[in-house]
Amino acid sequence: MNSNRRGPAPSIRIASFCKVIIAAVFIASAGISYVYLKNQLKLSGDKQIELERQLAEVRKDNERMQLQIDSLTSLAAIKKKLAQNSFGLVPITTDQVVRLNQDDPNGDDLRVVSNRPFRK
Amino acid sequence: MNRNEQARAAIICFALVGVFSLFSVRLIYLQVLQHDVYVELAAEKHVHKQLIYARRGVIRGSRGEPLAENRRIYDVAADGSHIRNPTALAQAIAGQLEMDPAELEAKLKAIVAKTIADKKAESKVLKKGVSEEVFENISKITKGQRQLAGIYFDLNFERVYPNGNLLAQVIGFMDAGHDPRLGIERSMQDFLKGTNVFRFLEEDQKGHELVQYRGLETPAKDGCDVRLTIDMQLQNIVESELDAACLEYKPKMAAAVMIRPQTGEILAMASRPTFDCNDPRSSTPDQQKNRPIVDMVEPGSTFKIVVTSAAVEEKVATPETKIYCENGAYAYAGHILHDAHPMGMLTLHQVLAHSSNIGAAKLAIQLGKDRFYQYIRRYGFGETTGISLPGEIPGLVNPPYRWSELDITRVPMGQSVAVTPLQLVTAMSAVANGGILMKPILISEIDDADGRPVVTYSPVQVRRVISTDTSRKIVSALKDVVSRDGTAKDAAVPGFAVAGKTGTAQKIDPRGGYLEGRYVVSFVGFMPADDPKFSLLVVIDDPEMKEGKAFGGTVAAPVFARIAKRVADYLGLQPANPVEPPGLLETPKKLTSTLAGRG
Repeated sequence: MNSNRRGPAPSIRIASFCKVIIAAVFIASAGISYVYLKNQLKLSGDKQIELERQLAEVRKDNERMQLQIDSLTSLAAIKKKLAQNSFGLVPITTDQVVRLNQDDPNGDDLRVVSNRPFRK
Repeated sequence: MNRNEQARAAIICFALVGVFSLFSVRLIYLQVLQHDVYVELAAEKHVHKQLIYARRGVIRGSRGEPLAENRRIYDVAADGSHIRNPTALAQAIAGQLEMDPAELEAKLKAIVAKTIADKKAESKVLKKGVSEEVFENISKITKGQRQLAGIYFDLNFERVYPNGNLLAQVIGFMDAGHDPRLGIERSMQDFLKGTNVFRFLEEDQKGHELVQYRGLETPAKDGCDVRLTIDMQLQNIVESELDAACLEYKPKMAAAVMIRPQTGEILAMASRPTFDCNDPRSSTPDQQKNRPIVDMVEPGSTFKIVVTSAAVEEKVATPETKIYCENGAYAYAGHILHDAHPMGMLTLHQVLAHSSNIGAAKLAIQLGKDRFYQYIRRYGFGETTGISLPGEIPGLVNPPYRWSELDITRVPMGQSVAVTPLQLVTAMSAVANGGILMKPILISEIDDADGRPVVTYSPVQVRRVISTDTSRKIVSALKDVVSRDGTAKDAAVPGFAVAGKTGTAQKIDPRGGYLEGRYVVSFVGFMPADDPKFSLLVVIDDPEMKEGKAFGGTVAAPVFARIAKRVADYLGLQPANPVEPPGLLETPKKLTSTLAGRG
């Protein structure tokens, strides 16, 4: 066979090959990034849900404790305890009251409610 | 290709085209024409609507203490499509729900049966309004147990009133359908209610939310907090003394209102009978009545402040003007007007102090019905005060052209007119406030959920009714009412000057005329008389007393005194006059030496 009739030896077209490789890498990395980001989004979502749950739990506990405080410090509860003498308080009588005379510009003179003089 | 082969190829091609055309048509039908239907069906599977509750605003007292707040409750529901073992589920949760296990099991089985029969998920509420504790216990029991699946909870809120029946009619309550009933709950509904929002949740196959598909959501708008002018310590004092009076006198009803005269702030407002806001279903309409604003009473002699102050203001008389009181029987327009005790010549000052009907009638006659009527209206009678509560009535004051000839003698002593307790105490507060009528205010502030003020209510001056000078003169006379010779000596508070007026009005007979021996007794006053810190009205309807003993001075005045004394202690008011205590305890030595040291 005449050597002139032999076809040219196949050569690798570097530029085209690179283009294909780059395109493939780009598409692959875009795909992987997409999956990665999707996964991150899902993980962040899960984290958000968990944090929301914790926040709701804290809020709920806070509300519950606030209600408990309000119930224990309500007048009704205090009156009930007072009726049971839980505080050990006794009614105050007028003669046991001593007032600071706040109107006195000279300061903190003590003044008794009663006009009966103190025994000396 | 021969003809046969061509024909076969053509048939296959047509068949393929036909099949794909059918597929395409079906696809277009599903994707385009039935789009909304299938989107909805898909959403039913993976998307559900979550309600985000807005918090209802809290009602607070003047010191910020909560009077009405919210508590989480849950409705327990069973989903028939998820229940696997009704028997086990019933046994596990019946105790928590306080239900009979057999009954609960039957219920669960019925739900499952209906689900199967209808081929549609059937969910039914098993119990409404269970507490958070029950919710948590059931959640713990059923968590991770496949055999105990099928129980769900719907979050809800209920209103809680920490003080029970204290201030009940003013606060109001929420009914079972979460609608406000009565009081501030109703009148301030627009501020208190928040705005709930929805969130659409998309879930994966395991039922976990896919947060990334959440849409943009507007946060729920919580309701505003309403702060009242009511001081709960004062309210407690008023209500406990009113309770004591009800025990002692067993009246049909009782009411009390306390106001700060200078600003019109309502410090306490109470009605008896009453009810527990936490259990409104067990109350009667009578118990739910906020009597200071919805009840009309004939004011009796407390109304004499109107005619006396009008007479002084119009210079018809001075406090020293002498009026002949006809020794207790005055014939006018064919009728005889009586005084409780026959009296001769009295000054205007004494007419008020001794509560002479004849003296008051003569002053009104001198004043003339038009001018007198003008003052009645100027004091605010015959119109609503505009308080922020539902159902306030204006009372009943007829215009002069509708008065009978006799009315000019009846109205000055508080007959033929009907007023609300709030109007009466507001009018007395005007006298205490140098003649200026203030609008009664019950709400001091409305704050948003972050505590920022949205609306602030400032004192509102309605009008000047009488001059400061006239007011001073009337106060001086009202002080004498509480003196040893006055009709209300039992209203006196040791160490303090008290001014006030008693009222004893015969009860109106629904069939006409008045009921014999049955009275509405009242006392309205303020303290300290010369620099009032509060004005207070006590009304007691039909107290059980011996015949001829039920007077404002004997029944309502002592209640006023007991309240006023406790209020003085609470407010730290310094007695202006010396007090003689019943028995002085020995002063502690330490204190004596301290005092001696200060000279």
